[in-house]
Amino acid sequence: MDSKGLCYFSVGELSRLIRKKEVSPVEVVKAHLARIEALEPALNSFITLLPEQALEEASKAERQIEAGQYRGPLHGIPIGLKDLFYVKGVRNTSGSKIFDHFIPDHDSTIALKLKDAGAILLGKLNLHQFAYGPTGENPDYGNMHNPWDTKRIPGGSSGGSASATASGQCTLAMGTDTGGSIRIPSALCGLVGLKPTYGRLSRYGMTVLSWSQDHPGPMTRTVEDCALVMNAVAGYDPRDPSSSNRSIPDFAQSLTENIKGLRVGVPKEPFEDPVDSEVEHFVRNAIELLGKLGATIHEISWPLYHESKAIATTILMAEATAYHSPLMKRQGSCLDPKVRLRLEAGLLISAVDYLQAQRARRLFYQQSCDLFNKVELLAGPTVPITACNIGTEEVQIGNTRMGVIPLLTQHTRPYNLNGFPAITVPCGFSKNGLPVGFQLAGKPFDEAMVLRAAFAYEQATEWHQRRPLISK
Amino acid sequence: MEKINRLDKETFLSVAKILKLDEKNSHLEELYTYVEKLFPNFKVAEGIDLKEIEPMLTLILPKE
Repeated sequence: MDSKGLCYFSVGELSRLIRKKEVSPVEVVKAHLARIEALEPALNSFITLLPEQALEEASKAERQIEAGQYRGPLHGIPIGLKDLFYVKGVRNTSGSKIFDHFIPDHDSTIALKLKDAGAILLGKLNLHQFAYGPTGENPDYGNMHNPWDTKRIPGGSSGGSASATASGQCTLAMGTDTGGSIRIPSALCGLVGLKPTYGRLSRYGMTVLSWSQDHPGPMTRTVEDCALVMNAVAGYDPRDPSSSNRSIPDFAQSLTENIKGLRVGVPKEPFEDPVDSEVEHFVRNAIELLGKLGATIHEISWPLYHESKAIATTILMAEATAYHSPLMKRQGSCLDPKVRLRLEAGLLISAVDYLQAQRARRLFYQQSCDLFNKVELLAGPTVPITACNIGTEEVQIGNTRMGVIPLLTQHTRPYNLNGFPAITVPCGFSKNGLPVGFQLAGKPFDEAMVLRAAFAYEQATEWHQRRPLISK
Repeated sequence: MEKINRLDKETFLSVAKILKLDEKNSHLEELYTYVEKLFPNFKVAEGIDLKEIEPMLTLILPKE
């Protein structure tokens, strides 16, 4: 079996081969380790690699499968975890040299569930320091690079998760999303990235950025893979105070149901923000295709949409600063200077400002729920631009010049604020060959609906089959 | 009460002193520039009618 081919199989495809014993997990892991070695100089996706451990786990998986102890579709599948998911005995840096030697003594729930499902951890993935940025730049462990053009950002903060998955270094990765940090790099790297409903996946054992807006989630090359991962990792966890005990559907089962008659709302407000014309073209084409597949498309208005970004920012900054306050006082000078600025700025947010923002959040949540009296899904752009060059501070779109951070997060933050599930799906490639993503969102805990619509779109297109030609 | 939408430098420096932020001038200058741009975001909620709306804070009572 061609080893590069192995590196680009989906979970679905690989698991069928592994289950039928046509390929062994050891062969799969070796192929991925070779690919990592070949591409790391160009991509810098990983902070910590675990080749010996991975091969050991692959051998164990092989023996289990031979003995008829097949655990499910993730058994023997090589994965990466963003380096803020604790894995017992493996260093967890959160993207900062301050924690270069920190080794957790317990697993995060996400790591444990994936281990129980038989997935094989290849390593811990690079990220924007403390997940506090949307570009994937990291002065401590080096910048991550977009596999579609290595001079460009992969996006962040789950930049390594995106570059590794998009380049075939791993079959899938887990990221976290506090202001867009799964969806932004997924869109910029041509992946499927799901931010589930807040509370759907456990936050236990993750480095915190913002308690009330952190969402762990999968980053994959196909929608089906996303659903398979959700089946393995979703569920109530008493160790996470925000964890929901809502029943979990089989996310993969309803994928193939058609979307005839589904009402898709297209809020006009995201298009009132600056959006690159190529991106808008592909996003509107994607929405139109949903219509051709049987959905009905409705232009709607989303109250407080424009204000929601500032509200989300206020809450995020206050919570991030509260969490990192001891570190700032002890070792502020060791932080990424840009991250340090953001953390210090959070000190200037008063308790009253924070509480007013949380009141506005409740109103935004209620108004978001009201939208779903009329529609089953919302659609719009994920990111208003394609990937910019590493080091870019501002971007010009038409007559508007904007900072990269507010620009990258302008369409993603509202869903961190209301906690609704939102997915990005590849919907085109720019003239420069850079991926474009569009975003579908559903009402709370309706990931099944979101995945179903995303799957219908994906199966009617070929964007997800393209692979980057990676220059070294 | 007058709506505050701007953080003037004097206020910023007083608060920075209370918070014992790095006193090296260049760093405070950079922080002030950054915060001054962000400050209107922190006040956005003041422009929204929030009558009868409680904050979205979660009191988690022990589960049985």
